Amino acid sequence: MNKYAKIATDGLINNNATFKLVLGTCATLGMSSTALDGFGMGISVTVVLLLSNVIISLLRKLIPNTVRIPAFIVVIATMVTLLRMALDKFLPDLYDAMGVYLPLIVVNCVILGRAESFASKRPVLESALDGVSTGLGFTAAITLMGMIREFLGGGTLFGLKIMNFTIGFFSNQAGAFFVYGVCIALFVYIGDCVEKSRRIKQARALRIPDRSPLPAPEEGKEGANV
Amino acid sequence: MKAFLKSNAFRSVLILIAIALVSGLLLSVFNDVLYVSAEERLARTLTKIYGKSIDATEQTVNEEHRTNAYGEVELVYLLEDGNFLIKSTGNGGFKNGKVTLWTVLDCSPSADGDTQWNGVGKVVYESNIKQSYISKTSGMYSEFTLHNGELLQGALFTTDKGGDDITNITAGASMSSAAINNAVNAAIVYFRNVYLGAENKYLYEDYIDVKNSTATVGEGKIDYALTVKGNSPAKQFLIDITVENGIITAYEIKTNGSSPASYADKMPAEVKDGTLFVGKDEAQIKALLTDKGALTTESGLLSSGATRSTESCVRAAAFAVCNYALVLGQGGLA
Repeated sequence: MNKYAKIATDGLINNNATFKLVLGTCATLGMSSTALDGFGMGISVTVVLLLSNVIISLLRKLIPNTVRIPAFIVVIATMVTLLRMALDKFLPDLYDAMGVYLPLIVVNCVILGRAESFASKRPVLESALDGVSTGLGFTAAITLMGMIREFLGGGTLFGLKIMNFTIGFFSNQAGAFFVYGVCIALFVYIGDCVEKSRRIKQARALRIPDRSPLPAPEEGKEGANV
Repeated sequence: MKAFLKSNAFRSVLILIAIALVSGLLLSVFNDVLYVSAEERLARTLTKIYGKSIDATEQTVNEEHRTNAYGEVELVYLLEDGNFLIKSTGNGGFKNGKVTLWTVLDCSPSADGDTQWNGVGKVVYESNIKQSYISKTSGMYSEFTLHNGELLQGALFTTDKGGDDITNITAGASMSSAAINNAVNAAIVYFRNVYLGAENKYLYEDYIDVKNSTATVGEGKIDYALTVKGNSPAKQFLIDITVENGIITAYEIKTNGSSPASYADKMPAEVKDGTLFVGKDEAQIKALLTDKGALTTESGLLSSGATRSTESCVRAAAFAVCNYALVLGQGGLA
């Protein structure tokens, strides 16, 4: 697989920050009460991931190992503050909806984790792609959880009323944990099924193709009566 | 020295400082570019309330009435359509926190040119301090616009049930509800005092349900039967107080409004049996309360664990003794 395609699929699926690595749980549980809130949080994290990965990758040869974590945090905090200012100016409704979870993006493990394990070791383009793909994987996961909780807990989807029947459990924190656990289980199960079928296909491709009996040797020739 | 300047430690510190400086510079530049002014915030609030932009003229807040028993008024605007928009903060929330709201007071010019108040037009949430369950209270805001008839009769909003005031409460968030009610009440009381000229007749009147209280006047003696308004989570207290020659001579709690009831046991004994108040005059009772009607630190009553109940009892004593001369002169509570 092409290097960039691998980085993209790793961020989106194989190393999905929410369902595989179980990072950024606080933001996931806090902002997945509705699909729109989840989507807004996901996009915000994606923007911060992209910017912080690019900057940290640019500075990776300059920052000494001993102070890498404080340096990363200063960069991430700056990006989050810029995002806050931009949201307050241009998207005040989203800014209000995100509340305290917006500044909490600074301590989101997804961002620091990708900075430490990827951006600080790889070139800018790869780091940018990793930031975007990890962010989009996070966005997809938190939006999916938001859709499930909003539909079952409020009977709406993206703010549109779908049904009157609601189960209040899914609107509260216990429901958030429950949906999170079920989604992780499903994700792992589907991942295992896909991996299993891939291995079966690979094994079939490597198997000896023809098991028909060998032709009988001609009379008088070596191998007869064997 | 040279060795230190060439060392890894110095280089690390230098790079960290450089990153911090560049970040600071970037933030200060973007802070100017992306700055949201107070006018812009007001325009957003007005658009949220009216669905469109509308002209608003800021009014000077009357400092004498800025704070009252319910909270504080921060900003007052006169809107293009003649309504008033008041930003106020209500006290008494969860963990002593507060809630800030915008309240639109519907007004129209009366025949004689004065402002005629028609009630509450809309209430919009702004922010809160320490209110973890604020999201549960979203259903309260529409309720404020449904009781204008009662508001015009002098009622206010409360979390208590029964009584003349209007009950507005969210189950499971009673203290946040109290702060929300207080924010609206703060705006209404300010408006009544400043624009409608309806100042309180009695000192500490905001804490007492005067309509449901009595005062029997004798020779230099007043026997009060006071109904103290709820002080969420504490409910109404019924307290009998006797004041003779400006000094409290008897104090008895007839109905303890502590909620839950077990909190009554946490009240200081001298408050429960009234011995704290007996023999005290106006100055001594007033010293137990701040200007905003809360218990002072010097009172020594803040650490009981039943602060709201204790506060209600002290407010009753303050009302009784501070209005002694007025009530005596008019022969009762008018």
